[in-house]
Amino acid sequence: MLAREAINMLKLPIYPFHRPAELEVPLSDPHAVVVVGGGLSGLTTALDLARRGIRVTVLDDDNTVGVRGLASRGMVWAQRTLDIFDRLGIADRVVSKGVRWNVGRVLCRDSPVASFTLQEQPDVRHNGFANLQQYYVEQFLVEALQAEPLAEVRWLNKVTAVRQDAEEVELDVETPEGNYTTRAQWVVACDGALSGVRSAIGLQPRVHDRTEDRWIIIDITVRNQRWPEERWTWLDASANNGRAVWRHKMADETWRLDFQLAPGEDAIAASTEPAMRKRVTDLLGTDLDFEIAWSGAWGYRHECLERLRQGRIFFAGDAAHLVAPFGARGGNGGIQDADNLGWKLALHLRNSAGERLLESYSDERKHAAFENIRQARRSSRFVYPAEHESTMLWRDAIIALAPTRSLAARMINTGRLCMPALYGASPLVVGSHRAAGAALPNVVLRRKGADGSGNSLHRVLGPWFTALVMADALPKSLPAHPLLTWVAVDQFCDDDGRAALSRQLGATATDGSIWLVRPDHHVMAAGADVSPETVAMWLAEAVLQSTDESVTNADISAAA
Amino acid sequence: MKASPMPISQQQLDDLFEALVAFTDTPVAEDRQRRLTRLVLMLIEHVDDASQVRAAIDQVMKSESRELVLAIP
Repeated sequence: MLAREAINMLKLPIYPFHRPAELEVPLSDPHAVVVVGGGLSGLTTALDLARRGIRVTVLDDDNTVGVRGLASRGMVWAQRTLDIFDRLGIADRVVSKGVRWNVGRVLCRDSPVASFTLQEQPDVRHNGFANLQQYYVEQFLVEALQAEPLAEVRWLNKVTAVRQDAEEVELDVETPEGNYTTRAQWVVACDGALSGVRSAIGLQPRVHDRTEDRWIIIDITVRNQRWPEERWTWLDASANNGRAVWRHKMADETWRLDFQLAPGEDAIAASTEPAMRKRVTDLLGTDLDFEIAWSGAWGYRHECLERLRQGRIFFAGDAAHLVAPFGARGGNGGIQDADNLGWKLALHLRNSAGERLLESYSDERKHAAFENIRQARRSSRFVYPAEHESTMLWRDAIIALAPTRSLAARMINTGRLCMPALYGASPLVVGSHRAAGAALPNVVLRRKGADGSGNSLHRVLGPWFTALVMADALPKSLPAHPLLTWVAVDQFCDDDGRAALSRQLGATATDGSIWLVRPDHHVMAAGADVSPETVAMWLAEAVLQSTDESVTNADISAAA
Repeated sequence: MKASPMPISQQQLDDLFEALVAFTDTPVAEDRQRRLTRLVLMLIEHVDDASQVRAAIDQVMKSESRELVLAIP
């Protein structure tokens, strides 16, 4: 087990402003990629691109991570996110600093009525969830980027205008030492729910619903309690006037408490120190010795852009879609956006892939955003039925029966936690294998006599596409493709390892089937009776470049 | 021997909740009652076990601290 990192953030890091080159002389060539916004999605996108050999510039209007002080914000990191962070080299820091948990409890009328224990998964590298304040995750991403020679993060660089044509994107940028205009072949807008890039080009997301439901976060640092490291959700806590509360442990002995406010309750009055302390002690007892680390009120809505790409601008994270936080789908979804886009944009910039691959970003991630919205809406409707009679009818029945009936208890929905996206309907998927479109589980590859460093399936994959052969040797004749790595998985396993693969993949590690795995570790196609030539053909079609690859003005205005 | 069915998954339960909410989503209370009573009758047919149904009735009444009063004892 990893020891917790011995840092304890009392204030956010401040990053220095460096005078951008464009303040002295205009660029001769456009940047390959400019990422607007240095939050989770932007930093992850930039790190992925730099690791893939693409020069990338991040423009951020602030000079630190997080927002408005030590706000925990996104703080539950899902297994899929940890696998992505593993590829990017920061998973160990997130896990060692964070708090692992796999038990959740639901309380109804102040009594526990349901609990779930996420099954221990010794077969996979990352087990369950890790809780960590978002500013730590962003700090780890920044530090990883600082070590990348191809990455430049420009703090205190605020984008004020955006224009694009078929060739490039032009951005006006404001800094403390003057304004400049810069150019980029591609822009990734990761500038949040109030995206300035989106506004600058006249795009509006479609709002699917919004509610009057309001909550307040009260992050507390606790000195005299050792509660179990579990997720607790009260559906109707008497200490919160019959309304919901969440409690999660994060790093630095800090607990995240989210209190649902009463309809019409004044959020400003609820945010005063005495009001917050009363709320906390009403719930957790007057003998609790704690400090308030941060607080903030929040509401939510569900929205998504019609297309996540317009011309040479891609949208990711909250700039592309907003989802209620029930289930931790916002931050984890933004990181999966970055994971999906990075390799596609990198291949395109290396002249190794065409428009079809770039377009698939919008198809796949919009599909994922809608699944997140669908799940979060169910949870939000349960937690906040408002005056919807039919929902109230069933909700009341479920609450009444939950203390004695396990099925009713399981129907309480205070948030279903984020799962990996499925791209089964993607235009890139070939065939109907049940794994096609799913993320490849990061199975631990056990082998007797190995050094115990924990080799795993993702670690034996190639940098781009991988043909994973479920056998101990590769086929004799393999077609060459510069983006394709062939791996015979059986050679990395003993019998225990092969059994784990079978449990996780549903295929035996010796059946000879071939799985074509994308650079983001999603399965593109798989089959038992597939020739190596067929696999090479699948890959060639995915990255196919048509005769006319230019971005037209019609593409640019299509989403507007 | 009758094979025991697979337990309902969390996803299936959530899907059912959504379907039930839509099923009773009508502004007319009588319509809602009619749908619910028909649904109960169909489920009784599927359960095909009078004692289980009766036990469930008793349990609902008990949760309201009441007893079933039969018209013809």
